[in-house]
Amino acid sequence: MPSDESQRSRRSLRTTRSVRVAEVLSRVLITGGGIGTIAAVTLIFVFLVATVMPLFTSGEVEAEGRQTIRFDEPLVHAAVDEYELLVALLFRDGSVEVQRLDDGSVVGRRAAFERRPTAWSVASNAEKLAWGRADGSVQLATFGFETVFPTEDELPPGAEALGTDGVLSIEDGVVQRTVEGALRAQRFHFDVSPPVDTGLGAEISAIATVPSGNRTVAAILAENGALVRGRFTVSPFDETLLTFRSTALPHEVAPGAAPPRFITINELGDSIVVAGENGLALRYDVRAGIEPSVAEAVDLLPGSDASITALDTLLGHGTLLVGDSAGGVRGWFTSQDPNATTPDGVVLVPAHEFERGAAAVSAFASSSRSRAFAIAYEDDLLRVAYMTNERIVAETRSDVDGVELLRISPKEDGLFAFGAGAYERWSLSVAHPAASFRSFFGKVWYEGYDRPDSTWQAESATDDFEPKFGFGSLIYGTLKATFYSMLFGAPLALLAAIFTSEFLDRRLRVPIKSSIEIMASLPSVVLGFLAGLVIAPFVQSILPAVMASFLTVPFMFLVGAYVWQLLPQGIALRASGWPRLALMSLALPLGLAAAAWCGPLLERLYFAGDIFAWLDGQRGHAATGWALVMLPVAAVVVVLLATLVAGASFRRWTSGMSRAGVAARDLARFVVGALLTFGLAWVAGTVLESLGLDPRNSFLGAFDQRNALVVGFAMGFAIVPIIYTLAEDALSSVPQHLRLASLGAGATHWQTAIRIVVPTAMSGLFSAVMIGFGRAVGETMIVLMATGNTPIMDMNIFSGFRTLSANIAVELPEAVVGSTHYRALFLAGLVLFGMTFVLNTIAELVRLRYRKRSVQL
Amino acid sequence: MSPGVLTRTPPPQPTRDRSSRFRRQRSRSSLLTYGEPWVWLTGGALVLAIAMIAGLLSLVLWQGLSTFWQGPIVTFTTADGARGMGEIADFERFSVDPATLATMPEDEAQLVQDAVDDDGSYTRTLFRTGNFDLAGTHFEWVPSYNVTDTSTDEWAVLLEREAWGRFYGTPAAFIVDDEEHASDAPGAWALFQRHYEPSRERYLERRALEKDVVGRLNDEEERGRLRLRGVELEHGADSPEYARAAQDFEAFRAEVRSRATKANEAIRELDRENERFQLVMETAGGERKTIVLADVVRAVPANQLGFVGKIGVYLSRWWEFLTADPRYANSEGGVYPAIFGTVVMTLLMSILVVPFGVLAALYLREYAKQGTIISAVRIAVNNLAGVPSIVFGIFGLGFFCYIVGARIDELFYAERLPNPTFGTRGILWASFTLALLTLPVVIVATEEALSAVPNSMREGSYACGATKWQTVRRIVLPRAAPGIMTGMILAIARGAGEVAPLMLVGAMKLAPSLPIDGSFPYLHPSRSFMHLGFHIFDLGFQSQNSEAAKPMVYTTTLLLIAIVVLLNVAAIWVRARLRRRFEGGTI
Repeated sequence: MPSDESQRSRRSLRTTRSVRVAEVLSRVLITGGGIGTIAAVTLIFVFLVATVMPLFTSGEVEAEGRQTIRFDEPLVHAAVDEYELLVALLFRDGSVEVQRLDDGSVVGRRAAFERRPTAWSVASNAEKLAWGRADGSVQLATFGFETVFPTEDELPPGAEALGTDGVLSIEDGVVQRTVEGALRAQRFHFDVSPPVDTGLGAEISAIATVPSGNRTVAAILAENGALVRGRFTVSPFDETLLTFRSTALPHEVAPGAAPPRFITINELGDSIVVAGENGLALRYDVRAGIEPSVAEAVDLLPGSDASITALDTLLGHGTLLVGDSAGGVRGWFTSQDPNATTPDGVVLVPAHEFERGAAAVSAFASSSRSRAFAIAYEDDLLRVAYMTNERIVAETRSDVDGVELLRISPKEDGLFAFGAGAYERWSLSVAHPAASFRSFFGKVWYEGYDRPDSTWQAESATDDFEPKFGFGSLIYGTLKATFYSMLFGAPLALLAAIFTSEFLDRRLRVPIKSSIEIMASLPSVVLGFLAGLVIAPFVQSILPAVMASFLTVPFMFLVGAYVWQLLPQGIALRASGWPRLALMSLALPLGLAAAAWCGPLLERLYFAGDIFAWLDGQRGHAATGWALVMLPVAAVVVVLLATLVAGASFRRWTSGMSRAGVAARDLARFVVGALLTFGLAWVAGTVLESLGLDPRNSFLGAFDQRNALVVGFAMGFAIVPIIYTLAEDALSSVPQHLRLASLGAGATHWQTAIRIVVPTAMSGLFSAVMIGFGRAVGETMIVLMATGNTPIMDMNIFSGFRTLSANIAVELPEAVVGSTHYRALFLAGLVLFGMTFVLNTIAELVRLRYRKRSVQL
Repeated sequence: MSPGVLTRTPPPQPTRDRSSRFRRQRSRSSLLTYGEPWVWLTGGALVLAIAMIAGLLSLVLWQGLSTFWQGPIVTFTTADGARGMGEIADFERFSVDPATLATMPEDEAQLVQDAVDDDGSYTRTLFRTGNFDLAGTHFEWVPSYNVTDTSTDEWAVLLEREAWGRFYGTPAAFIVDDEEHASDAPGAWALFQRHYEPSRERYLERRALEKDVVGRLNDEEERGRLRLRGVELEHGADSPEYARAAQDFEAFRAEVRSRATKANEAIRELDRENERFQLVMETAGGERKTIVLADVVRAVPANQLGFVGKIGVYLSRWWEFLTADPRYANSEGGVYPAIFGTVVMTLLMSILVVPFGVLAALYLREYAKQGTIISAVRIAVNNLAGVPSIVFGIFGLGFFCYIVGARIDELFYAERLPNPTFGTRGILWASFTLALLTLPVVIVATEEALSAVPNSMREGSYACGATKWQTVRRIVLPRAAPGIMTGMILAIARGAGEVAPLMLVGAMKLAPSLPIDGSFPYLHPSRSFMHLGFHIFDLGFQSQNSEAAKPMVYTTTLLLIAIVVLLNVAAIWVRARLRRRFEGGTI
C-alpha cells in the first residue's frame, strides 16, 4: 500500500473529472457531428435517387369488385364520372342506364333514340358520340357527367345529415359532401341533336367524328360506297341548330381489301383512314382547298394474315391504335418523309409496336388525360400501356368473361371492363408512364416526327400534347458547351501554366498566380451577364475580325518569337525575364489590331462580302469555310513536316552558321511554312468542296447572337483559372533535381520543360483538365444567359443549345411537385451529379497516384 | 474552389548558373533547341489569360463607376427639324446597306452618302432621352448625318422620378393650387427649389406611414386571424373557446381597422398637400408635362453644375444605390434589399457551415481511424466541391422546401395552411442549401490546416499529459485557426457569388419585406429575399427593358465583384500570413 504522502501527490496528478467529461463529450460530439455532416452530404445522393426511383416503378391495378348489369342487349358505350361514383351505359337498343358504382343501384333510365342506328362513332375517352341511321342521317350526342351544386329544394330528404363519406342518390346522379362542407352533385348529362341529313341517301355503314369547339368533323361511309368528309357546325345563335357541309371523296377499294369496316379521322379533319378487316387501308388526303384524293394504300397489319379486331384513336386523335386477332398492338401515325410519294408529303408509319398478347385483342380504352391506353385480350388479360415509349405500365386478369368494352376513368385512376352481363372495376395507378429508361436516354418516336428522336419538351399549353423527356438534346448541348469551352480554355490554361512554372520571372509568379486565382472566384452570373449582353452583341458586330483573331493572335506571337531570335544572344539572355514578357504583352494588341484590319478583308475574300449571308448558305462557296476550318489542321501538318521531315536537314544546313544567320533562315522557314499552311488549307478546302461537303452543315452554320463561341469564351473565364492553378501546382511540384539534372546535361529550358517536367507532371495536368471538364459540364448561369436555350442538336459553333443544368434552372421552379416532369428534372440533376462525380473521382485518383510517384522521385 | 488553391507548394526555381550559360554561348546551332516560338506561344497564353481578366475587370469598373456620373445634357436638332434632348450614352459605327439606301427618300440618301466614310459606315450616337411616358422609349439612336445642330441648353434639367424613370426637359412653369406662379425657366426652377424639400419630406413621411403603419396593422390583423384559426383547429368551430376567441378577434379587428383608417386619412392629407405643387416641364420637342414635386427623386440641372456639383450628384446617386429600395421595375433606385438579403443569407450560411465543416474535418483528421474508408470519404468530400451548384439547388428545393418545410408547416403552422410558411422557398432554406454547397470547401481547407500542424506538437502535448481534446483545443485548433478562417472566407466568397441554386430555393425578383425587420419575431427565416447575383440575372435577362436597366446591372455587378474579390483577397492575405507565421514547421 502506498503511503499517505504519495497518495496525495498521485491524486493531484490524476485527471480531474471535468477533463474526463470534456474528453468524452468532445469525442462524442466530434465523432457524431463529423459522421452526421458526412451523412448529410451523402443524403444528397440518396435523396436524388429516392426522388427519381418512382419514375421507374410500374403502375398498379387493384381489383375493386364487380357488378352485374342488364345485358340482354349488347353494350355500345359506357362512361364513368370524374369521381368514380357513377357509370352510364348505352345499349344498342337505345336505352341508357345510370348506375351507382358503389352498390350497383340504378339512378336513372331513359331512351336515347327509337330507331336503331346502323353505325356508331364512339371514342373511349370523349363525351361526344355520333351515330348514323338507315336513312342516311346522323345524330350527334353528348354523353357525359356534370358537376352541380344543387339548391336546397333540389336535394333529397336526408341530405342535410350527409357526412363526408356518405353518398345519396338523386335523379340521374348522386350527391356527396365535399371536404369544405358543401353539397356537390354528379349528374348524368345527355343531350342528343335532331337527325341531320347527310345527303348520302343510303344507310350509313361507318362513321368517325372528332369534335373541336362548336364544330365536329366527320368521315362518313354509306352502304352504297359513297364516302364523304363532313363538318357539323353548331349555329352561334341557336345551339340546337346544326348545319352540315360535306365534300365527297373518291371511293376506291385497295387491291385485295376486305369491305371497309373501320374509319377514322384526325383532329384537323384533313386525313381519313378507311380500313377493311384484313388490315388493308386507304388514307385520304382531305386538306382544305385542294381536291380530295387517295394519299396512299397501307397494310395496317404488315406481314401477317391476321385481321383487325379493335381500332381506336389516342388522345388528340393523331395516333391510330390497331389491335389484331394475333394479339398484336400497333400505334400508327402520319410522319413527314422526304421520299414520300403522297400528295401531302406524309406517310402512315407503324411507329410503335407493343409486346404481343397470347390471344386476339378484343377492346381498347384510351385515357382522356395522357397517352396511356388499356388493352383487353380475348384470354381476359388486361394491360395498361403508354404509347410514346411502348411501356407496359400494368397488367391484370379480368373475371369478366369476354371483355367487350374497356374504359379508363377520367382521372386515370380507375379501369373498367364490361363483358357478358357484368363489369369489373380496378383502381389504377399509372405512376409515371411517360418515364422509362428508353424515353430518357434512348430514341423514341414522337407523334408527327419523321424518325425516332430524343428531344425535350416537357410541357405545353394544350391538353393532348405528348410530353417529350429525351435527354438526348440536353446532353448534346451540355457536351457541346463543354467541348467548345475546353477547346478554348484547356490549351490556354495549360500553356499559361507551363510558362508560369518554367519561364516566368519568380517575382512575377506570385502576383500573376494570385490574380488568376481571383478570376476563379468571379461569380458565374457576372460572366453570364457579360457574355449575354456585352460579348455576344460585340462578337456579332465584328464577327469576321473575331474569326481572324483566332489566327492573327497566335501568328503575332510566333512572329514575335522569330524576331526575338534575331537579337544577339547576350541581349536575348539578359532580357529573357520581364522585358520578354513585356514584348509578349505587346504582341497581343498587335495581333488584335491585325485581326481588326484583316476582318473586313477576310469577309470580302472568304465570305462573299457578308459573313451572315454566307453562314446562312445563301452565297459563297463551301471551300472558303473549309479552308478556315482546316487551317489548324494544316498548321499541325506543316509543323510536323517541318520538324520531322525537314528538321534534320535544316539543322545540318544551319550548323556552324552564326546565331543571326540561323535566326534569319529560321524566320524564312517560318514564312514559308505559314504560306504553305494557307496553301494546304486552301487545297484541302477545294478538295472537300469538290467532294460535296459543306462546313455550314457541321461546324459552321446560321448565326445566332447567343452561341457556342460566346459560351466557350465566357466559360473560359470560369475554367481557365481552375485548370491553370491545378496544372501550375502539378508542374511546380516536379522535383527541382530533375530540372537541374536536365539542364546540367546540356538541355535548354524548353527541352527541360517539354521532355522532363511536362511528362513527369502529366497525370497532374490530366487531373487538372478533368476537373475543368467537370466544372464546364455543370456550369449553369453562363449557359443560361449566353445561349438561346433552345434544345437543338448540331455542331454549329454559331448556334445556341440547351444544357442539362440550364434546363433544370429554367423548368424546375414551374414543375408540379411529384409530377413526371419534376422527377425527370431530378433525374437530370442526378445525371449531372454522376457525370461530375465520375470525372472528379478519376481526376482525384490520378492525382493521388501522381503524388505517390512524385514523392518517390 | 479547387483544392489546388489550398495545396500550393512553394514554386521551385529554374536556376541559371554561370557554367551552363557559358556553354550555351559557345554552341552556335543550339538556337533551334531553345524552342523560342513555343515559349512565346506559352507566354502568349498567359498574356491572353491575364488580358482577359484585366479586360473584364476594367470593363466592369469603368461601366460601373461611370454609370452615376452626370454628363452634359445635349439638345440636338435633326434634319427634319425635330429636336431631342438627352445624355450621350454610346457611339457606334454603323454600316449602310445599299438596299436600305435605295428605299430612302432622295435627299436623305444624299445625306447618308455624304456622311459615310470609305468603308461604307457612319457614326451614330445613342442618346439617353428618357421621357418614357411621352416617347415610349428610354434611348434613341441618332445617326450623325441626321444631326444639323447640337447645343447645351443652360436650363436643361434631368428629373429622376419615382415612376416612369427619367425626364429630360426645361422647367416651363410652376403651379401652386392650379395657379401658375412662374412661367419661365429661372422662375420655375427657383420656386421648385423652394418647395421641393418640404414636398419630398412629406412624400417620405407618407411612405413611412404607408409601410410602417398600414403594413404593420395589416400584419397584426393577419396574426389575429391566424390566432383565431389556431383556436378553431384546436377546439373546433363549435366550441365555446372558439366563440370567445371570435368575439375577441372581432373587437381586435375593429380596433386595428380604425387605426388603419386614421393612418390612411393622414396619408390622404399628405397626398392632398403634395398635389398642390407641380412643376411644368417642357421637352426639347415642345411637349409639356406636369410633374408633381413629390414624385421627383432628384432634380439635376446638369449643364449648370460645376465639377463639385457633379461629384455631389455622383455621390448622392451612389448613396441612393446602396441604401434605397429599387423603383421603377428595379431599373432605377437602389439595391439595398438585395445587399441586405445577400448579407443575411451569407451570414446564416456561415453560421451553419463553419461549425459543421470544422467538426467533420476534426473527425476526419484527428479522431477517425485512418484507412481506406476514410480515404474514400475524403475523396468523396473533395469531389462534392466539383458537383454543379444546380444539383444542390435541386436538393434544396426538393428536400428542404418540399419535405422538411412542409413537415414543419404541418406541425407548427397548421393554421396558415394551405398557404405554406416554411414549405416554400425562403432565406433559411437558401442558407441551408448554400451551406451544403460550401461544406466541402470548409472541410478541405480545415483538414489542410489541421494536417499542416506538425505532429511533433501533438506528441509534445500528449507527452505533457494532455488529453486528446485538450491537445486539439489548446494546440491544434489555435494553430489551424487561420487556415480555418481561410476556408470560411473562401466558402463565403463562393456562397455570395452563387446564383444557380438560389433561383430554385429562394431568391426573388422583388421581395415585399426584408428577412429581418422591426415586426415580431424580427428574424423571418421563411421569407423570400433579394440577392445581388439574382438581381443581375433578373435585370439583365428578365426585365422588359433590359437596355434601360443595363447601367444598373453594371453597378450591381461591380458591387458583387467587389464583395467577392475583397473576400478572396482577404483569404489570400490570411493564407500568406499563416504561411509566414508557421514557416519552418515541419509536417
